[in-house]
Amino acid sequence: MTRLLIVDDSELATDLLATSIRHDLRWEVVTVLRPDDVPAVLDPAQPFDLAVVDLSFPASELNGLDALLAVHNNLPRCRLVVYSQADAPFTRMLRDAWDAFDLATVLTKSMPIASVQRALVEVDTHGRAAVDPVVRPKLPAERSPWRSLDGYGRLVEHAGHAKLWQALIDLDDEPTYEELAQHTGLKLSSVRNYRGELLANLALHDLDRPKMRQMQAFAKRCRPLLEPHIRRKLARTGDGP
Amino acid sequence: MVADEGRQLESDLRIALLTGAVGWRDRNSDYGAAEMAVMAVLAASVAAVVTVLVVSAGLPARGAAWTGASRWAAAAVGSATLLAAVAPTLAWPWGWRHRTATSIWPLAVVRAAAATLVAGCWTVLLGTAAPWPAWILGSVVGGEVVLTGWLFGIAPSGRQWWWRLQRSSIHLGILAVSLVVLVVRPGIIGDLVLVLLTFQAIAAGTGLTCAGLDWLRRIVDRRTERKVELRLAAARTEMSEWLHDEPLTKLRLIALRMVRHERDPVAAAAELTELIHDLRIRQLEEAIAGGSAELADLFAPYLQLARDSGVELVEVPGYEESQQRLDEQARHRVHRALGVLVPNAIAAGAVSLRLRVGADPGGAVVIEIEDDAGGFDLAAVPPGRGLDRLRRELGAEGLTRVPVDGGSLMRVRVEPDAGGDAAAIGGSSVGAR
Repeated sequence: MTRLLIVDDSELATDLLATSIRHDLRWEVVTVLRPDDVPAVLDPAQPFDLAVVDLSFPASELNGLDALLAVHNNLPRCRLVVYSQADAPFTRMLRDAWDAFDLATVLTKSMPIASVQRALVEVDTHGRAAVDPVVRPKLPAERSPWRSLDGYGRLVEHAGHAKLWQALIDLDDEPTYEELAQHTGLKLSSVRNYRGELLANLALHDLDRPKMRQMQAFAKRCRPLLEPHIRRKLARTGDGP
Repeated sequence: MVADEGRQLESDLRIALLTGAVGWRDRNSDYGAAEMAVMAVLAASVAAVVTVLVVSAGLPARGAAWTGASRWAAAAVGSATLLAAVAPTLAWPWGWRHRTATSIWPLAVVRAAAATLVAGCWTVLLGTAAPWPAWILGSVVGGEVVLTGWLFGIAPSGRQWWWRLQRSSIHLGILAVSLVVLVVRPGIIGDLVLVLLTFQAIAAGTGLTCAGLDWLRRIVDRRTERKVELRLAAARTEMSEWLHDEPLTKLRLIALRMVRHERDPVAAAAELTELIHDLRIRQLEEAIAGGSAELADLFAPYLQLARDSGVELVEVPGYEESQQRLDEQARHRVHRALGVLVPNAIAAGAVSLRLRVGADPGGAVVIEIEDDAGGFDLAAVPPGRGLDRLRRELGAEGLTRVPVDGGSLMRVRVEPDAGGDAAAIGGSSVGAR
């Protein structure tokens, strides 16, 4: 029997979609309301075949990228599907997920339930399905290798970069150079130089000479994809947790 | 450890302040109103320093070490050095900026050398005459350090800046050298006092300029915050009224009709779908106003509307074509065009739709909406209809119709940097052709 994991805080997914799949497809469906609870249901002895994941979780500090990463790391064979409203505020995060993970498809919540079911069956049978036409203008035909999970390592080439990214993630408002220097323990000139080094690679993430505010928004949005590289670099210098 | 970090930061800050704001600014950052006020003060101070140097070079210099042509040379060197040192700061608002990130240390050394040279020329020309005009040199320093301090998020008071200068290595160095000279040549104590007073004049000028500019910034910030608060309040009121007039009223009506069995579930679902589309449009308009909507986002609600209406989406734009960058006005225009043309095609009975996006040789964005809903004459659309208003807004070249087999291909052409008045083209208009 196909095992499906649904990670969503909306009853549309956890109730309506889950119930219809249990009833119509006879699949085993497990629902999780928050990305924080995903690791607890990931058992390699009882793997999921598919995971349907939303991106936005306003009630949690984690987001859909955290959930996708947890499933990807624990169950590498599980096919990942993003199921989202896919509206303007989440376009960039959708593109981050599309480039970082080998998504089987992207479906939107405006699709009829029957169409969602058909797409999921297609994924279960053939490994992937066509993305919803509504989001096709938002997703590149070719995934960028620079934006793969490993590709984010280019943004954290040494411990200085790791400290800078961690500070951008930790600080709430747009930080000044002085605040970044205080938070990282780096010299002002080092903060400036590390930021300058990162600007070229950030162009690969569609950020053209970003201001500090835009760089921080990127850091917070892509935190789940940056954090493994940050931890690795800080651990090498003994600055890690 | 914390004290060490504090000292490190303090030391870094001295270097940073010496470097000036241009060494730290993002190349695409712009000055706000307060920074422009600093520009005015800085420009006036530089002009005053140059004037004093030139005028003093022409005055008789009884007892001065430098006389005649050498005084003019000192004035020229001092003026040119000062202008070169502050030129990057003054040129920034006009878009003349360094192409690549410059290194901090060379910049700091160059500016320190420039400051020393200007102070030297000043001392040669005026040092032994009167110390107090030197406060305008402090005004130049004040303008530069305030700009840099604001960039780092620090705004010490005028007194703190003054005290910083008192504790600075420059001041301590001057005191030490003066003491040594006093021991060796006690007869020139008057000149030494004038040198020390000149430094105090510069320190006072710096402190007063910083205090004045910080005071000005607080006023500008308060006014800006007040304007933002008023705009936010107006937007919230408008949103509240819209929620009352549109979704809440419509939802209440649907609920009441269902309770009274005047609406069957299918009809109610259709009305709710229409309301969902209205909410999506509103959300998109907010995203456009907030600058977070891309060209790809503009298609989404209309693709959803077509699908909700049972229309087959045979062709939709790809990612690569949808990556054109548009300014806010251009996004409004594309949104407006889609808001008229897609609902019109659906209302006219389209069974399938093809949407394409591209660019013409002139760089304008071209959107095509092809339907199979039969033909019509664009020129004969009655005045007042959505299509007629759109045609008048976009112009003859902005909206054209090409007949295709069984339908129409509507072509919209929008300049990526449309500019113009948002209110004139905002909003959507849905209706039959």
